[in-house]
Amino acid sequence: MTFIWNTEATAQGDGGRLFGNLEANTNFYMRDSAIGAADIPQYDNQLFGADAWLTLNYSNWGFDFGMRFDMFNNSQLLNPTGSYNDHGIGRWFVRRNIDDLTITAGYIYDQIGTGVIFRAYEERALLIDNALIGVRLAYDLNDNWRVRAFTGKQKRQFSHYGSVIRGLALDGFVQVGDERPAIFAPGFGVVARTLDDDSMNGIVNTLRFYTPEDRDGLDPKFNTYAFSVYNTLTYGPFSWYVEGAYKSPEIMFDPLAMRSDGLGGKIQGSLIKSSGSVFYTSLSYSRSGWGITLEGKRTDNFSFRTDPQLELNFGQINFLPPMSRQNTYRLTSRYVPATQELGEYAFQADVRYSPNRQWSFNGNFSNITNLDGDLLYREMLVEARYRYQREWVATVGIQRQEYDQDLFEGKPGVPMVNTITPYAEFLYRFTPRNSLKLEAQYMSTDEDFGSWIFFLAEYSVSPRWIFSASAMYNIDPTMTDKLLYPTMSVVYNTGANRFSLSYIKQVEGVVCTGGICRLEPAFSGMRFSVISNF
Amino acid sequence: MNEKILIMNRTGLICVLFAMFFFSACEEEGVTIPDFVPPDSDRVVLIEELTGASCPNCPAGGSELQSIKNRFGENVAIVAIHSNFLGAPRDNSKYDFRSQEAQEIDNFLGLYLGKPAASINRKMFSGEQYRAIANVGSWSGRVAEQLDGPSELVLEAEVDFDPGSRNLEVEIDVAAKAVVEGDLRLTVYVTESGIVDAQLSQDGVIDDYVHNFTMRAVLSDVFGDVLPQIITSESSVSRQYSFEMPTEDGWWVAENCHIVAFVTLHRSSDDMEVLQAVEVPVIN
Repeated sequence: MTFIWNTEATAQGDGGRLFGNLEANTNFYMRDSAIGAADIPQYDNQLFGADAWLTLNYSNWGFDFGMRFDMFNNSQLLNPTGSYNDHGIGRWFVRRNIDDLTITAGYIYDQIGTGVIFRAYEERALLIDNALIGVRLAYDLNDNWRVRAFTGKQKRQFSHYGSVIRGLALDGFVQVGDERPAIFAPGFGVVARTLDDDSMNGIVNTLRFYTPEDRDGLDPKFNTYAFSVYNTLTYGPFSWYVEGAYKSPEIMFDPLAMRSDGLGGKIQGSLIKSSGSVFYTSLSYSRSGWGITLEGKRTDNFSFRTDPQLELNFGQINFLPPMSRQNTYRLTSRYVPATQELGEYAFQADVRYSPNRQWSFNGNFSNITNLDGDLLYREMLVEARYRYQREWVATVGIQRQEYDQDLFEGKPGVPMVNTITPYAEFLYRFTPRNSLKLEAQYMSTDEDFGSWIFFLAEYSVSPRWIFSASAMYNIDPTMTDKLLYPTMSVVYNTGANRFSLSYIKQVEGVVCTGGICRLEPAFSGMRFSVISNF
Repeated sequence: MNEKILIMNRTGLICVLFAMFFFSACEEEGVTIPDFVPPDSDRVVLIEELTGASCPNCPAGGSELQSIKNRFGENVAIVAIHSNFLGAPRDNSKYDFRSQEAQEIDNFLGLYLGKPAASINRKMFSGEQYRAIANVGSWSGRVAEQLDGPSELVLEAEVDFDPGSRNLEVEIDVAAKAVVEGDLRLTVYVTESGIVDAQLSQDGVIDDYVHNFTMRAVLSDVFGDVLPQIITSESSVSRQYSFEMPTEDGWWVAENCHIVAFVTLHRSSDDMEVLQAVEVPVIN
């Protein structure tokens, strides 16, 4: 079926608007084999790398135009152990509103519900950019109801994957009652993925060599469907979000499934066929200084990709919400659990209480297991903050973690990492413009690299300058000598421009955005960054 | 009334759209998975596996390569390259399989997702992210694809090893069935199997793991010796190589060594393909 929409839109040049932004990062690599910053091309030969994104937007004649130039020179973003070089138009789009219809063509970012069945987004720290290259229509049925439809192919750097993705979503807003209204924001979405011939041939060519027993039941299909129903109910101080999603049976890769090697032995990692489901709910209460959030999630075989044989961060059509606290301090954020798309039970409770303007308290508990009940991650944190007028703010807290490093970082046989991390922060304002922040953290653990201490001093001369120095010291190592990882940086803000220059020694660790994580090697060198808005 | 009609029309439109989605979810034709039939081809496919002693998933790659060797026999030549990433020896390792040449080959093959990753005839397959493929289960299928058709080149290797002097003489003859032209390069490896040493696995360290197909030396230039631009059936090319094999010391067991030679056609820095390979034992 073909949709044709004719309109007589006259181009009225009333003076267009051009705006955009630049983000550029340059790395000067300094080899340091003591911390493991070696044996990859950037440290051995190239010594320099850069990433940049220049976005331009123009609005005129009722149209919105946008494009973005991306550049990667000796970049570690795509693969932390390799060197990625490419450049080109990373995004372009054209958008037009016609009465109640919004038409967008080009590279599209969007999501349905929390993203469980579809999310096209960009996350530069992990070089995730799974924009949909296609067409999107959004139609306002009335002031409270909107329907969206889209179709296209998922972006892959400067190319695209072959599978076709299409989706439809209906979102609404319903208010019941006038004096103390209950507000409903229901929604329904469906996404379908049709494999391209190359992807299907790849699956067939893999299954050909499975034994008949391993191949039994693994009949691949070109089409997979995912459905989601969701609703937000807001009533007084309460807000309750619930979402349920189902995916039709499809071939997926399970890294833990076993198959025969044809020689009488077994190999780990096999294609399986299964349907999938996700249930997610979040209940919040906010009143009189209290903020309480309870979240629960159950995931079962919900890997949804453009090609089922893709792994890690590649080809993901959807996004499963993370279920651990987003920590901001260096040591409390060292171990972050990646979302397990094939199976997990997760629960999180967060309680905040501010009895007055001076005091605030926060307690957080999160617990993640696999579907068999085996613990994968647990975190408990309590924090207190005291604000003295406008002069100073003091924060103290303590965190306890249990982290399955074997699973989350692919390090087989290592024990569960158990940490206790007390921390403190003191922010003092000398003047309204001048302030000093001091941080101290101590992570006690017998696993992984061992125990750490961390100190930070940051002096701000608002609005322009920020000077900081920090040191992370492996005070009780289990794997290396006692190594110091210093970082010094200067940030300069002028109007819409932000410049930063840093000297960094960073231990290997996990970089996460939401529940999407990647193991990063150690970093040693200088980094210069520019962010400019115009 | 007009507004009600408008809302009803719009609602009807939504129902049609949803019906299309659900209606399109009809049963589709099943996909036939053909049984594997051993190929009838004179082609020899080169598999270069990026691996390492500290790579926990690499024993799975090793098992798959052994299955591939059993399945395809003389139609595959396998080389396991221990480059730096996850290649460090274990605390109880006797040997370090890494080498500068291995890392240069790793860099030359380009980015890869992780180890184990195998390059099949150095070809960038349609639909793949990288030349070195991390999906172990797909390696057999890619090999089968490459065996779909005869080879354009005929590669022969003659090997002469003197156990006393440990001197190894290799002669590689390259001829075309018709005409082959382009940037052609000849690469020659020495590989060794049956080396017993530690290897990290998903269940911890395997102390007596048997390392097979391990690249031990590169006799040619790492990126290949340049051959004439045109090779025909009547203008074959020969190259000779000499190598003094180190003294046997748990490894460098000549009986376990092979010569793997292959010719690559370079169309550009990103586009290359192995046209033919040959694998012969050092001691027949």
